[in-house]
Amino acid sequence: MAPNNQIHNKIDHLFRREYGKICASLTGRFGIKNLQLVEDAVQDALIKAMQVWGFTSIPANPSAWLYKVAANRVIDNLKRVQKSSALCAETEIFIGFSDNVDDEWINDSLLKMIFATCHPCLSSTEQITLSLKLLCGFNVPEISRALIKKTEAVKKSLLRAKNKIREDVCEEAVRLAYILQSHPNFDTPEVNALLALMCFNLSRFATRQGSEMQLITLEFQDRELWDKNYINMAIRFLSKSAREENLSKYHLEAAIASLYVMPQKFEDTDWPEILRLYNMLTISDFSLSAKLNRIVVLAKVNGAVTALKELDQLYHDYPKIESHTFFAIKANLELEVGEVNKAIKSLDESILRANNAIEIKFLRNKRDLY
Amino acid sequence: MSKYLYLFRGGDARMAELSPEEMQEHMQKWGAWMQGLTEKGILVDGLPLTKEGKRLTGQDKMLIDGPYTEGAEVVGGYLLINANSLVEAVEIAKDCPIFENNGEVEVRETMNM
Repeated sequence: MAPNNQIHNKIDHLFRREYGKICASLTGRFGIKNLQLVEDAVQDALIKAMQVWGFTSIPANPSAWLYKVAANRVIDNLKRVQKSSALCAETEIFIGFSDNVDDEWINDSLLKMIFATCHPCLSSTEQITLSLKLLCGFNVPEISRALIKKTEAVKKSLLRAKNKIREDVCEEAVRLAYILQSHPNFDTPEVNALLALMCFNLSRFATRQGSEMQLITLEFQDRELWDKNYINMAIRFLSKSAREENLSKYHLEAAIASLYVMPQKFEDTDWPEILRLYNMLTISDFSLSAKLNRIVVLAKVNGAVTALKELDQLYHDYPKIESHTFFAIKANLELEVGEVNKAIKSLDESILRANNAIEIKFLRNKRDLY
Repeated sequence: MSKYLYLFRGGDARMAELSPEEMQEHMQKWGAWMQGLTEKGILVDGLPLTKEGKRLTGQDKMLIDGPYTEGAEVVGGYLLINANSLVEAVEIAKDCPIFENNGEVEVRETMNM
């Protein structure tokens, strides 16, 4: 209960500086795919600091305090999101070293973040906007004042830039797998199947979001814009992967991806064949996402009523399901059978659990139709 | 001289919108205000509160989860101060930085023994 002005005076711009440092270190630790989760966690940690420090006193090591609170927040949120997916092991590793952080690590992370925010795939405006946000700890209104832009424009620019660097991470993964495959020891069917899967997914990357950053599902993606180079590479890797009897998880997933990509029109999709592959996949892949994807395909083949029954069974097996995808699929199937009220409830459940701004927007728009 | 209780409510929505720089400014204003109360010997006790909580209610002590319906109604912290009158306690509360974020202060007189 002893606020100390001397300390208060020593912490000029501490919050803003720490925002960049902690965002960079936690993104280094949890991966750029969790960037949004990290940013939210750092913001929450600063709010907590504002409330607690103002009331009591500033801790001896404010940076360590903020880092710890933010890291715990990310881990809690990851656990919540991943409870239903197969990635729990990842979180355990993070918990292991969430406490030891040194200056060298922070500087390395900051340097990586500078490379990310100034990536050549970004326009100069996007580079500046993203750097101000992630490295300098400015918020959207501050950036829009500094650059004399509308806040909406800044928000869009940030979202676009973040998506671009995430896409770049996918391309980087392909490049690494390609290096692996180029080595004679690793030119295995499994690595080729993985490469095929990644290339099929990348070929559709640019069409999954519209100009308003809205999510576009397979049915409404512009097939003309799919990247033919990636598709051709994928086909080549897929045929190379078929050298032995061995059928890995990646073989099945790549085969499924090919059946989504190869038809000229969405209506020509071979759902029964995709279902057959998912049936095989879910024998060895116990992840919830594989089970959920299979149910979506099941609905196409055997109808929404059958699919809903399996979904209920899944809920029975996993009563604590926290996947927003589960509830989004449920809503779709309920709409198909005309249960509008139930569907609205499911959409609400899904919105509650979604953690990505684009997905939340997609779900809200859908919710607003009813 | 009596003890007076300040109950702080609201302001969360605005605080969530602040930039790191603005949050720090706000935090430092609180620090300065609290330090002023300490130096004048007015401050008795006080703490901020988390959003976690339970309520026990009724003769059967029914347990109700977590805080309380509207954000504006949730008590975010309390202070106990010394003042000569309710009027003076209210005057002191007027300098509280919570009003910048549209929060409110409830000032209550404690009963003397």
